Amino acid sequence: MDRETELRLVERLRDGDEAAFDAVYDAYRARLFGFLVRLSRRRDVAEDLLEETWLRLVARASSLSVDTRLLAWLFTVARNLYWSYCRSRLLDEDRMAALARLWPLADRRPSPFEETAGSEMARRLERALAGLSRADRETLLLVAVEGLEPAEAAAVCGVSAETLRQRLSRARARLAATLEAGERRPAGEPHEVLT
Amino acid sequence: MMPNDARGDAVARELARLATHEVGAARAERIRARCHAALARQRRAPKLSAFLDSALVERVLEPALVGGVAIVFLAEVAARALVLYGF
Repeated sequence: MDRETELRLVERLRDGDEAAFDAVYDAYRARLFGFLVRLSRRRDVAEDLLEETWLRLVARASSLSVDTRLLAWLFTVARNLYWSYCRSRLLDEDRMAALARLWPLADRRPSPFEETAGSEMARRLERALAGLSRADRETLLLVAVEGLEPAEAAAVCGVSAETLRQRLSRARARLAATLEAGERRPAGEPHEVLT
Repeated sequence: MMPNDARGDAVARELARLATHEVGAARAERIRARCHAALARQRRAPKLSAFLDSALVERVLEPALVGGVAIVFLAEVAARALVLYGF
């Protein structure tokens, strides 16, 4: 979506225009949901957070600033809702690792279509992403998967651009290490130890 | 084994191409319907709530009100102090 279109949609959203909402919803729903699914590693949680994110948008539509960058705004709300959810459930890293079993792509058998269409690299990347810490995963998802500029991603995460660059560098190194460890694993050995 | 830079580029390309996820159709429509209903409610609601949410209130009226109360309070404290010291 180009910037001019986005600014027009923001203006119409401020007036409560349902058609403008539909345009934004159709343009960004899948990206937002993908971000939440990969971040939370739980489809049911991602669906609830997605719904709450869109409800926040309409609740605050009239007070959006005229130059709002909608995608960054939506990612910020979604990300903050996710972290609030984690705090409310007191989920620590160990518990999240246990929940990784529920990651929809990691532990289900790929369909024949996926086996031919999806690359082995993509499957390994999904597994490696799911195994990273929440902070690393969030950084990589925003910049490398969703294509946000580092400055935009920094604003979404509420950190300085320099901090985000450092986080990104660390996250890339950890992802590479995880992928390399996966390559060295002998064939037939499971990628995750499920307890 | 690929050199590190080339490998990093390959990983970056694959990350950007990861499959998108789509929420179920029924859930997607439920969210849309709830949002439409919320927008319709807002259009019907009096403009007062929009005014209270506005930047004017947040940036000007609220600080002015708080500042005014603080000035009245300080003036009262000063007046009582002056009376106490016999001025």
